[in-house]
Amino acid sequence: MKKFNCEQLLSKLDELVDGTLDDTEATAARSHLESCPSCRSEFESTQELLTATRSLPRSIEPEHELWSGIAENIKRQRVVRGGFNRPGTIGSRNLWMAAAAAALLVVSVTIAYMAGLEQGRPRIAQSPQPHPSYMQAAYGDLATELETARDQLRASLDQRQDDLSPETWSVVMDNLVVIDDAIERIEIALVDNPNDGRLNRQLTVAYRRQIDLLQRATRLPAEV
Amino acid sequence: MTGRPAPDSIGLVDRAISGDVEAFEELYRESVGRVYGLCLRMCGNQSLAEELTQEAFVRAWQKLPSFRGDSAFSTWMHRLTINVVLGHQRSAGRRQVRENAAGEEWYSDGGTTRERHGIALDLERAIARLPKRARTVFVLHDVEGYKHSEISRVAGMAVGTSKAQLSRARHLLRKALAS
Repeated sequence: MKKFNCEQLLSKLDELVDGTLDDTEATAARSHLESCPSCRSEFESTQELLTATRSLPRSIEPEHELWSGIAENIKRQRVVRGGFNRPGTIGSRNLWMAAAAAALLVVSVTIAYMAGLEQGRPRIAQSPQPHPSYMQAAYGDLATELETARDQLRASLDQRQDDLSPETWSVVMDNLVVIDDAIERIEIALVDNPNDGRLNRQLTVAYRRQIDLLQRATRLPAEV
Repeated sequence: MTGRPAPDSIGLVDRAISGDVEAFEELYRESVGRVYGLCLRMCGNQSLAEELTQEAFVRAWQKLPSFRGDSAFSTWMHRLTINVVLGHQRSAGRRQVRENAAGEEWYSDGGTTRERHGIALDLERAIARLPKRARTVFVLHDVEGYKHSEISRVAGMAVGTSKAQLSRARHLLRKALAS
């Protein structure tokens, strides 16, 4: 029978409380809880937290009257109704191809990232980079600027969500997540190796690819 | 996070799409509590939550023609609200504009319409003080019932990141409530 130690139990605590562990792991976890007061206490306090959370009201009435501001805004805009087309009627195939092209572009980031790490490890360990603190600062500033640009584009894309079909939106979001994941991995690696030029370059490449995808996505014509 | 549209809502939505502001006001009255509650918990700031609530309804009015009726209006509105709040958080970026600003914590003003007692008040306070990403994931997962895959989609973060942020949020909340 599979057995858990405290570290393994705590790493699975949330899934255990949420009931999303598979049967084998759930049995091992419960077995550990029976014999470990410390982990049992953690488990019970998490359960209590969730019980309290579920009892919170999901609806909260605002203290101030908000409708007048909304009504005023609506009247000012006087949005012209009509002229909206249903999905699939305007160049849907072309949009799919654009989205798929963007997807291919994005996936290459992960591949480049992985390849970069694999190729880079031995050299990173054996040869120090020249002027590491200068490089780190330069890349750090660039990454911050790119992150800001990325966030602004993402905000613009959010404004267009209802213009795009759910399928196109899904493709774009899935691929943003792929790059986000790569960025997160690189940032974690940079915590231990902040002066690693290869990692810093990979970070800026990942941001640039994400910006490229976002620019393409924000330029897509409306589908709905 | 789905739901079939109620017949009454369908009629109201149809009227609102055709430009009937009174019908839209009825939709607002039906759903403002859920929308405001979501904004408030996601941003932890009363006046910002009011602004975002207004923005969400104005956006909803603009986007109503794209509402296809394959889910309940409340579900559609809920998703739209999340996008508005997350969009604000992204555009605010690292500036952390007004979020959790001193003196604007919503649970502390003793408002009569939303009095809290004991652990509920402590919990609301602790949620509002969570780091932004941890708070977002906690509110969506544990309060609103979204799955990690759904959070990944709407918040643009990896599923693993969503799980890690939830774990972090729960840990911080347990710690806060125990102290």
